[in-house]
Amino acid sequence: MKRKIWTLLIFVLLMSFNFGYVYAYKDPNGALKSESEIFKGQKLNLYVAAGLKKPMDEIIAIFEKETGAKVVPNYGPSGGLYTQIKMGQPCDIFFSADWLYIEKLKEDRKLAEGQKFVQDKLVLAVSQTGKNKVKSVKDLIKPGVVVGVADTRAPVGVYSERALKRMNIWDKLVSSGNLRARPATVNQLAIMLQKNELDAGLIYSSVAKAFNVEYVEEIPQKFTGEIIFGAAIIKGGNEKLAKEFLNIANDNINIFEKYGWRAVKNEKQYY
Amino acid sequence: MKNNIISALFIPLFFLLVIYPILALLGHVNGAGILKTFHDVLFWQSVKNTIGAAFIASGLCLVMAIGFGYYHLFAKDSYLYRILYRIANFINDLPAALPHTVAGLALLLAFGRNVLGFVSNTGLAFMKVSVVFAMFFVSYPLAARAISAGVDKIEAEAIDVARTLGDTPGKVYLRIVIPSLGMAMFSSFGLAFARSISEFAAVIMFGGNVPGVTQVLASYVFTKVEEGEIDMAVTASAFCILLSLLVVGFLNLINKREKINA
Repeated sequence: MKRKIWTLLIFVLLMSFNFGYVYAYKDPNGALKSESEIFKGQKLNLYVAAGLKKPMDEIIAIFEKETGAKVVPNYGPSGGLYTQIKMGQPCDIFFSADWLYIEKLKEDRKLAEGQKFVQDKLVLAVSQTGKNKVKSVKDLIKPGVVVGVADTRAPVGVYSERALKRMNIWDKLVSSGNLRARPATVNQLAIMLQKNELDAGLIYSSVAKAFNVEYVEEIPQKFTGEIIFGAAIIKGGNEKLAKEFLNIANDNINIFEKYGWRAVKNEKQYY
Repeated sequence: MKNNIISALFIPLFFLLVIYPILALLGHVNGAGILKTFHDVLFWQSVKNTIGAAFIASGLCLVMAIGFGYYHLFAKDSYLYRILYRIANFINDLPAALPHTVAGLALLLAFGRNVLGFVSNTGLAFMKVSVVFAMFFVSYPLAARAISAGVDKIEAEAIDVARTLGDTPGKVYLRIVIPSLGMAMFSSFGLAFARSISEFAAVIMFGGNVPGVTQVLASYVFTKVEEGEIDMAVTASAFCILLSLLVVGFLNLINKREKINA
């Protein structure tokens, strides 16, 4: 009996949160607003690749302060977020870690506007032990070096394999037996390097910065291909508010640079 | 009458939520996918790795579970046992509740080269034996639960009689309890095996997930899905289902024989 009462209490408590949520975002007055307050009280559904969380949190704070609108962020893997949008979950603006998903949204006729947002680089990161053994990519095939390359299920794995193949190192790396770990995400690989379980691995420079992992070499773009993070304003959402968010993000691109990304300069590509 | 209401609800839901998805998957198996998958050396290596590692891991699970059963049975016997049992019982639920990537990370930090550097240049991580460890870690609780359920079914009188005749708890456990666990041991092993072949998150973090060396079938399937090789992913998944059915079928067969013999 006691248990039942507790369950009921918890249920009621949860329900009340729910109502609070609904009423908190209800527009208190639908009356005319001044130009600067046009977005006040509106809600923005923001989907962001998990890797961009830190700088995006800062952008959200600026945006909410400037517009008075409320942001509901959804952080996750780019592919998963793309699938959610495709399946019709409400989203106004989407920041993807891979330009590919912006192109897919265009094919699905879900894209109102797309923009190449920031760029990342692939770097050869080393652990505490690894930095004495590995100075460049060629050192990865030296005997006794323990190497990690992300699995091809993650975009970073695809970039890494492509780059190492173009550098004629991939086959030697595989046959050397030095390749010991193929983690599922770039963050897992970064943790392995940070905890000194591996000697070296290929990760994004932004991730190296976020996890405080040293790197010894940048992999040139001619080997990796372009690594572009894209922004997409979704058709049928609150496009005006989304556009305002994208403008504020572009105006504060230095926040992304602070975390290790580079702005895409002079080649902003709009659809 | 009550039965009918239950069946009216249960049967359609069972078919819709359990049987239908499995059939849908099997229905998408096609010739091209089978051909491509069966010609992939890495597929067969992942199958070999999965079955081998899962077999050893489940064996290890069973041994540990039988140990757990002892404390489950004799927890009331002494203060030390009670404490041990409480801890073991509480910890049992932990691996099941942990996100498996975290379980893998825990293993990596515990048995990686920073602790066990004298074993190899990766410690105990990123080797075939690491795959076994990862599978064991996530499957052991299931095995332990199955054994303790089996222990509960044994008649208390038989144990009490043996104890009054002067057998120590250890002797009772070895001579009376373990021989009558029979089916519980098989289901313990079977559950651990089924859980092991479906595990990939912990295996990726601790085992290394290198194709052809430490990659397991579940991880192979996941990668094929993300690479867009849906035909191959479907074939490999169907193979997973067949493998599980084989294990379950085998256990049922033994169960039947036990009942006939009894």
